[in-house]
Amino acid sequence: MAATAARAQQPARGAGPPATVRADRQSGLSDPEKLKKADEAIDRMKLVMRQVLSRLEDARNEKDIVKLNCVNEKLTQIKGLLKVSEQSDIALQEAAARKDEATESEYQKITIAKVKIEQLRAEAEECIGQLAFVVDEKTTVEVETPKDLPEREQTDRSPPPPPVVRPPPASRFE
Amino acid sequence: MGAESTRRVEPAMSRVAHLAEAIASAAALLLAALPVPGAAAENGIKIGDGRLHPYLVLEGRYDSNVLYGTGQPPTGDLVLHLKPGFDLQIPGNQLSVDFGANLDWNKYLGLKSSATKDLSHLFGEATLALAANRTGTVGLELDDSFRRSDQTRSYSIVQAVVANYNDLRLAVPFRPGGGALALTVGGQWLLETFESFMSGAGLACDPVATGNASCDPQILSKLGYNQVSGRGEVRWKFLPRTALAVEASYFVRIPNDTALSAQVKGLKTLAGLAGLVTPHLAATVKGGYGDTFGSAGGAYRTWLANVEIEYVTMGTAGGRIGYAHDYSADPVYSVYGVHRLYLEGRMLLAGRLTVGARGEYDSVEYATAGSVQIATFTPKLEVEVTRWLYASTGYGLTWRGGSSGGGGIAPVAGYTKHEVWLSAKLVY
Repeated sequence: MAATAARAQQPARGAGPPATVRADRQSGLSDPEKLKKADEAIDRMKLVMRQVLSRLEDARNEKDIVKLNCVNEKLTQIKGLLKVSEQSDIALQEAAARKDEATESEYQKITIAKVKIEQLRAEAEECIGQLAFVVDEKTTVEVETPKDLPEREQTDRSPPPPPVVRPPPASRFE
Repeated sequence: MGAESTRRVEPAMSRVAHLAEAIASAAALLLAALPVPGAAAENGIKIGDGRLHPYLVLEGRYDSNVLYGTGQPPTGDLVLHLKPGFDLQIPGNQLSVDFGANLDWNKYLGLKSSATKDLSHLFGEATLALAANRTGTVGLELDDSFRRSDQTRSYSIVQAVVANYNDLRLAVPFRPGGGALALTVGGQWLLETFESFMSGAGLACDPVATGNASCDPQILSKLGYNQVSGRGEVRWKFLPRTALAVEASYFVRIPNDTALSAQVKGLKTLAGLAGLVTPHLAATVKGGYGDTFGSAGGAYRTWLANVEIEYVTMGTAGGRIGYAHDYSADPVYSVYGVHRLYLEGRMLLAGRLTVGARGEYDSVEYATAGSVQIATFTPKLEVEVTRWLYASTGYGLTWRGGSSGGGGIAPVAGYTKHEVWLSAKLVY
């Protein structure tokens, strides 16, 4: 509710007098820019969470507990970071409304969370991807061979053995 | 007049056709009346998971050229073969064993000349094939075959000879990932020794004029050799029965007497495709390069090839035609290249009668001398009468000609043989 109210005030902030648009010393962004980039970062983090949720579903369908645990661990961390980021976004909007310098610290929290979530997404991919190439006792390889092929091995081919010669014995050379 | 002769011929042709039809019908009825092969219990003496099959082969073979005399036509004779032996087969994926051996008593009857009775000999052969972990990642294959006979693949030997030939091979296939890719390393040891065929035999030809030391029976035993080789192969099955292969081997031929034979070292490389190209057509297309690195008394390098097409079915018929170009070391003329053209086919009739034929033409070109051509043609008929009795009959033509040495080919090295045989094999 507070976030909605804060966002409703954004055009007013953006359209405010030039004196209110001050450059930050650390991020180099004005408050409206921080608000805009924070929104984009949170949208990206939500997208990543949906992707990892899809990976979790894949692992669940495979009934592979190793993959499931691995992805679930990454997803839990992503959820926590997303929650922190949303709280920081609210705090950012409030600070921007107050024209408080706290906007910078809240913006930095969101930025760090976004980087961390991207790392977790990559790790979740590895959970599925790396383990997909693990060959263990559950791995089977099925080769479909047409039924009308000859049974004999055909790739180990060689010409027939060379002929033998059997010259007749000579009674005597003269 | 023409119409009259036609009328006379037509009834004769009709009688022949009826006779042929009657014979074919009688043969079909006879075959149909016999028990179906494999329907009865499996034969052989059970040993563990395997079976031992003792057998006895009785064969009568007429050879049109068993003895050569200067200025005389070749002498023919009927040769009886008595061949007792056994086959032991123990199948298995962890370990499979295939071991067989036989003795072969050749009895010359002396039908046309009593001198040929002295040609009787006792020969024999044995083979062993061991394969371990055939479906595993790393396997082991050991093959050995020994043969004592009057036959040799050393084409420059110009007179009858008793050859002892042993071929030992060891291979270690490595099949990671289920066998689609197979890497094989292995080695081979060939040993061949020669003995004079007849005691007290004189010169078979002029060793000076022909430039061939094997004319002298006293020299034959010095022409033996050892040949060791190592090989590696990579085979990738990109389809279940079709593969790309790259192979390389290096051999060293070590003669018993280096004064008579050269020590030859050589490399062979081949690469290409082998396997099914359609469900019923298999092909081999390989090409490569061989080089003896100057060890054969001079530079000898050549291209290598094997091109073949084969018609394959589930077992009732088959045939193939192919061409190969290869080279090999030789006990007399150090090294030779050979062009081979081969053709063979077979067909199973009524589940027990196999009709087959094989023909081959080889042109052997010595690096330091002339050339020899060998042609063979062998049609044959085999029938499984019962599960313990097999019969076969056939005809064999062998022709050898060409030139070798400075004075042309030795008289007995150029010859023609016609052989007709009938054999029965009793097997348990």
